[in-house]
Amino acid sequence: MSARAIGQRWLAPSRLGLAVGASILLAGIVIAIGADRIAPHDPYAQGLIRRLRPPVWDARGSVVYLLGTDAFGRDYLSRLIYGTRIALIVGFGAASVAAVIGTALGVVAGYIGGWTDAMVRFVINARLAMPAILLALAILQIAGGGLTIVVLVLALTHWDRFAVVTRTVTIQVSRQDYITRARAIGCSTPRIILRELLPNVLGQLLVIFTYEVAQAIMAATVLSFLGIGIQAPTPSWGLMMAEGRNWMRTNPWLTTLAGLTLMVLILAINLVGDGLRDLLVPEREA
Amino acid sequence: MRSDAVLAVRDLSVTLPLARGAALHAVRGVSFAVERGETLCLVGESGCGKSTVALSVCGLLARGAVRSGEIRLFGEDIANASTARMAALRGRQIAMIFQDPMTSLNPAYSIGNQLIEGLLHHEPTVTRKAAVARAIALLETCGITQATQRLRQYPHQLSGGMRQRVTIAMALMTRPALLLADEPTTALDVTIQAQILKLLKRLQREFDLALMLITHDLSVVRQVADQVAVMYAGEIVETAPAAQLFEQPRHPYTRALLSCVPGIDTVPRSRLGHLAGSVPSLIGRLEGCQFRTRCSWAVPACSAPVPLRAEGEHRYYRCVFTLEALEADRALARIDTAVDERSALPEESAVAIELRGVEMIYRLEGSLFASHMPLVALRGIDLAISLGSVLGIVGESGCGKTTLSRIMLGMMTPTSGTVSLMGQPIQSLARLTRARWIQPVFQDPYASLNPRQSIGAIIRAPLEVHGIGTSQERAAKVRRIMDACGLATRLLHAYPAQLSGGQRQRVAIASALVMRPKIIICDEPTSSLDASVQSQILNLLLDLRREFALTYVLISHDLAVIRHMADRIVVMRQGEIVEDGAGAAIFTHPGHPYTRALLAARGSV
Repeated sequence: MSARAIGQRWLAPSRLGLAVGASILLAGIVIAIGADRIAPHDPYAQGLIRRLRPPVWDARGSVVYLLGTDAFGRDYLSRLIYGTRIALIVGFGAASVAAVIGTALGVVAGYIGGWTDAMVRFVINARLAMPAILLALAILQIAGGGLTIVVLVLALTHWDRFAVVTRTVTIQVSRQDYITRARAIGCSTPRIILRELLPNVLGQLLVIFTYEVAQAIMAATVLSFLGIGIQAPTPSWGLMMAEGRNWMRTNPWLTTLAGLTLMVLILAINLVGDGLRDLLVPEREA
Repeated sequence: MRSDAVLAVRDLSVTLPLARGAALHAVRGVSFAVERGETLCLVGESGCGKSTVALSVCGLLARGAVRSGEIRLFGEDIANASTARMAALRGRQIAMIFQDPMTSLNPAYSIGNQLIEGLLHHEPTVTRKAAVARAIALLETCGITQATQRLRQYPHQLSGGMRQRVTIAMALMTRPALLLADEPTTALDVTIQAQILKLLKRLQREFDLALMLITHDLSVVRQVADQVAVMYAGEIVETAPAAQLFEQPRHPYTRALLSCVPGIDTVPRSRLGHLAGSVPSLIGRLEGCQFRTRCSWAVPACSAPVPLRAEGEHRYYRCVFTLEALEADRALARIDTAVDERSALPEESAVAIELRGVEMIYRLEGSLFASHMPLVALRGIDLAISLGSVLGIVGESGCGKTTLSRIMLGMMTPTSGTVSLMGQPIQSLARLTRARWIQPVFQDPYASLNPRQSIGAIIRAPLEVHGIGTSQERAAKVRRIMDACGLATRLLHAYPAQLSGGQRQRVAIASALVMRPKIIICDEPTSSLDASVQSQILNLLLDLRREFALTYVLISHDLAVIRHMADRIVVMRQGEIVEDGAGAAIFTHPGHPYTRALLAARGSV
C-alpha cells in the first residue's frame, strides 16, 4: 500500500480521531508501565527546602523539576507519571470487573428470559436508583481506602450499562436462526451462551468498555479529590488536585496540570471508543 | 426507438466509484422504452442492476454515481435535468412503489395525511378538501373499503396487502403518466400478491399508465408483462413480448433461467436446470458477453463486443450466435438441463413423526388497557409422516407452519396433544437423541450461520457436541459432507460473510446432515434465494435424499417448489390443516376452496 493510500485510509475524520486517541492512550500505558524508569525523581521524596517550585517556563523554575514541586517539595512531574499508573489501573481494572459482572448478568437474563430476566432487570433498576458516588462514598467510609477497594467499589457502581446493553443484544441475537440451529443440534445452554452468543455480543461491548474506563477514571479522581478512596501519599491525580486547592491563588499549576492531564487522557479514551464504534459499525461511515 | 414512448432510455450506463480508484459498472448500455398502457417488466436476479436502472430513471442514484446515456420522459431529456425539475417530475409525472409497504409508509402520520401531502405540495391550486376527495376516490378504486374512515388510520392498523394498496393510491394521487414499481409484491403472500397485480393491471387501463415493473419473480412477469427485458450482470441480454419470451427464449441466459424454475410441465423430483458458477464481478473493465463464464454455448468470440440482434420490431437479444445457430443446439440443450433422474426410494411404512391433536395457544401479554388474549396458532393437528417421504406444508404467513416446524423439532412444547418422533414421545427424548434424528434447515442463510465461526467450525459443531469420532475422523466427515453438498474444501476456513447466499444455504444443509439424521425440516429453504440458486439447492436436496435416505418436511409458500419436491402435500390455514393429499392430486383436484384460491393466485407457474 502506498503512503498516499495509507494517508487516505487513516485521515478520514473518524480514523484520525482513533489514531490520535490510540497514540495518546498507548503513550499513557507506556508511561504507566515504565514509570519507575521514566520518572526523574522519587514521587514520594519530600524536601521542604524545595517546596512549591514553579514549572520550568516560570522565571523561577528550574530544569531539575520540570513541572515544579508541590507543597511537600515532591517532584510534580514524577507524581503525574505515577498518577497515570494509578489512573489506568483503576480505569481498566474497574471497567473489566464491571464488564464481567454486567455481561454475565445480561447474557443470562437475555437468553433465559422469564423470571431470571425479571430478577436481573430488578437488580439493574435497583442499581440505577442508587446514586453511584454516594454509594461509593458510603462503602469506602466503612471499608477504608486502598487501590483494590476503589477498583471493586467502582466496578460495583459501573456494571449496569454492560448489563443493559448485553441483555438487549442477547435478545436480538437469540432470535437468530443460528441459535435455534444450535439448540436443534443438541448444544447445552452453557455452550450456546459461550460459543454462539458471547462472540456476537462482545463487539458491541468494546465501545462501552472504553466509555466505562473513562467514567471509572473520572469517578476515582472525584473520590480522591473528596479525600476518600486512594489515600495520601499515593500519587493520584484527584489527590494532587485536592492538595493543590489550597494554593490555587499563588500556585495554580498544582491543580490545573493534573486536571489537564486527566482531561487529555479521558478525551483520548473517548476518541478510541468513537473510532472503534465506526470500525465495528462501518455502515455509519459514508 | 419509438417516438410516442412515455419513457425512453437509450444507452444508459451507471458506474459507482469504489475506494482506491476502482469502479463498479452496475449498468451498461441499457436501452428500453415504455408506452402508455404498456407494462414493461425488468427481470433479473439480485445484483443484476435492475433497481439501479429504476433509481436512474427517478434521478435518485446514490451520490457519486456516474451516469451516462439518455433518459427521455415525453421527449424531455431528464438525464440532465436540474434537481428541482426532477423533484417536480417525480411527484407529478413519475410515481414509485417500493417493495416493502411496512417501511415505505411513515408510521408517524395518518394515511390520509400521507396521501394528500404530495398532491398539495405539487399542485398548490388544489384545495385540501379536493385532495381529500381525490384520496377517498382513489382508495376506493384501489379496493379499500370505508375509505373515509381509513384516512384517519395509521399504517400499523392496516395489513400488508392494504398498505400496498395505500401506497399505490398514493402514487396515483398526482395522476402520473409513468408508474415505477420495484418488486411491489415480493413481501406479500401469494393470494394478496395476485390481488395487487390484478389491481395494478386494472389501474393501468383506467389511468392509461405506462407501468415499469421490476421483479426477480418470473411468475409475476408471466402475470402482468406485455414486454419483458431480461437483465444479467448490468446489461439487458434479451427484450421480447412476454408470451414470446416464455415460449421461445433466445438468449442462453433466459433459457437457463426459465429451466431453473419448476413449472406445471416439469416432472416432479426431476433435476431442474441450473447455472454453474456465479455472477461475474462488475468491477473494472468489462468486455464481451458477461454470461460467457456460465454459458454452455460459450466460444472465444464471446469475449469480444457482442452484437445486438433484432428479430422483428420488439425483439432483441445480445449474443454472438444467430437464431439459427441457437435453435440448432436447442434440442441438445434441453437434454443437458432436464435429465430425469427420478428414482423411487424403497417404500417404508415406518412413521417418522406423528402428531396427535396438537394445539398451540400463545398467551399474548395484556397491556394496561387490555386483558390477556389467547392466540390460537395451531388447532387439532393430526399428522403422520412416514419415513422416506417428502411432506410439503403450504400456507400463507401466519398460518402456523413455522410453529408446527418448531414443535416437530422439539423446540416448542405444544399446549396440548402429543408429538412422537420415531415412535417415542418427543418430550421424553434426550436432547442429543432427538438431535440425531431430526435437524432443521432455515429460510435465511444469512441468519442461520453464526458470523463469528468459520465454515469448518459450523459444520463440525454437531460432531463435537455429540462427541463423535476423533478429531481426524471429524475432519474427514466434515470434508465428505462438504463434498456431498458441493462445497469446495478451501471454504473450510472461510467465514459466512465471504460466502454467497447459495453457498451459505449449502453450509446450513451440510451442518444439518453431518450427523446423518433421518429427518430434515426445511423451513422455506429457498425463499430468500434467486431462481438459479434455488434450483441448485432443490437439486442438492433431491440428490442428498437419495444418498442418505432422508425424510423431508418441506415448508414453503411457493406452490411450484412444493409441487416439484413433495409426494404428499398439506395445506394449512389459520392454524388448521384444510387439505391433505398426494402431491399431484392436490394440484389437479383441489378439494378445499382455499387450496383452489392458492392455485388460482399462482397462475400457471
